[in-house]
Amino acid sequence: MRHFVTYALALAAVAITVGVIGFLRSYAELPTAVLLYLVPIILAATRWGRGPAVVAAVASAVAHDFFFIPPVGTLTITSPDEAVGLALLLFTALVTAQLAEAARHAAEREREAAVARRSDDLKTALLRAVTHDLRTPLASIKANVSGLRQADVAYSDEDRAELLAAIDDEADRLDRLVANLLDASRLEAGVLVPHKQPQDLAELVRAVLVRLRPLLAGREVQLTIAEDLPLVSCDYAQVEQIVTNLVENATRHTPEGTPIEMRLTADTEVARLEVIDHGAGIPVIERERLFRPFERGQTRVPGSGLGLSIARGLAEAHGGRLEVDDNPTGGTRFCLTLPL
Amino acid sequence: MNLPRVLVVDDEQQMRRSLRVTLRTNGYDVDEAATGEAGLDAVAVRPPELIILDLGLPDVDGVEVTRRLREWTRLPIIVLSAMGDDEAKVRALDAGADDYVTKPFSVPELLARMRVALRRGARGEQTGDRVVRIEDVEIDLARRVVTRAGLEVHLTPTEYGLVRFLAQNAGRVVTHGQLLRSVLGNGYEDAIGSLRVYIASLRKKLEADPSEPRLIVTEPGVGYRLKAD
Repeated sequence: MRHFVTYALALAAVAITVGVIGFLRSYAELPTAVLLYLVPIILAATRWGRGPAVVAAVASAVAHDFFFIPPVGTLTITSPDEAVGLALLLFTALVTAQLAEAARHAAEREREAAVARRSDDLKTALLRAVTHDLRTPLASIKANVSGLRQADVAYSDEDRAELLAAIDDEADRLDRLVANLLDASRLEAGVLVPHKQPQDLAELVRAVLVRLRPLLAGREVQLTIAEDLPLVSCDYAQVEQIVTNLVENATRHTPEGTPIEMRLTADTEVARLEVIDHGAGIPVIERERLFRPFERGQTRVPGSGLGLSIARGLAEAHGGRLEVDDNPTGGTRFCLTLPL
Repeated sequence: MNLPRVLVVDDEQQMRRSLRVTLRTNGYDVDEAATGEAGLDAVAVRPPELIILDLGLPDVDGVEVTRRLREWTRLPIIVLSAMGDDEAKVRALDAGADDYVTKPFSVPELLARMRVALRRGARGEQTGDRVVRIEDVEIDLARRVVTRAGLEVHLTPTEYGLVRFLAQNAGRVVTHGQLLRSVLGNGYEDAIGSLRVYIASLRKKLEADPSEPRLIVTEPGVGYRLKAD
């Protein structure tokens, strides 16, 4: 079908050219008028490929012979000059089509190479982020364990408890990272389908805060929950992951000890969770980049740069949204909406 | 009792926590700083006996912190580097850090490095012993004589230069660049190939088994270390 259209367009372009030449010849004799056929031929060659170009060249030759070369109204050619002109039209059509084709192929190859490069960059970024993030908790675990294993040193009960607690925290951190990596690969593969069931979001948020207590390290979390919040149909584990990533993000990018606000509200259509920090805020141009994998904004804060992109991916898999904007009283506000 | 005080500069809260507990139990007083700037301030306000410095700091990187510290203090610095961060590690050592430990490290490993660095710190820079002994090798820096099992070992001037520099820094890692500068002068810092050759011939003369060196140990990607007795 597409082919038919391009051939028809080539013929139409030739017909228009014939009309234009006929119109011009009614005013003056134009021996070079035949060059005007180059317009539909080159057009066809560059836009539609070799077939339509050849059709345009042949049609141009036939039409010119028929309408303008004496004896007009027949397809006989008398002068060798005319024959050469027509052969040249055909030749031009073939060469131009060939060149255009080659250029198109080159552009395509370039595009493919660019895609491959981008994918390589992503892999490199992933590798770097993962190695750094996996190694950081491993380094403290190794230090703590090797300390505890020192044969000739007696740790006090309190110190021993603290080293063990730190190992525990770091194991949790590794676990969160691995969960994020799994989700990222599943989101990428498009196999992460939420198993929705009615859930109490208030309970979910409280559970996340309890689990992240070591990370929050004495920060004040002001949690406001609207009265008669309806149950929300969602995948508990996935929404838990979203909330975890938002809280983790807030602790990571704001000074130690600054409070975090969380507000859980709903209207007739959506449930809304806002996570508000009191950090430096994020410049407008940086905001969308936050949600791309492996972007970490302008900070050199540790983190894979996966958390927010996964959070948004999971929100969208639920038919919801995750947006970021300024908090009117300073800091950054992330807003998760889930449909009811 | 006056415990030696160590300043830990690391942005990772968990790493500071680990080091605080383990170092305290191993007989050190521990101060902490979470950023390079805070670390520099802490050293100025209350100089510790030793600085443990993470290279990957969020504000000023560890190499720059080392450089700024070395403008006014010879306090021993041990840098903590992430694996694969060889380049930064070498730059930190060239900037004057005393030693490095690669994360993840074990506490006894760090403690051993700390002891060497503190001993050197107490002695003062390169005014150390006149005679350095490692196993059966004796390096007499004053008489410029090296003996092995009591017998004098004949060294070329370049070889002696290398041994002297390693001995003056015994126990501590020295970078390829530092070694080459000390022996050949500035401008030869990239002649690592020649350095390998010199070190190989030194090992032949000093080591019991030159293929398994125990005295002049290779620090892969960084340089060499003369074993401290």
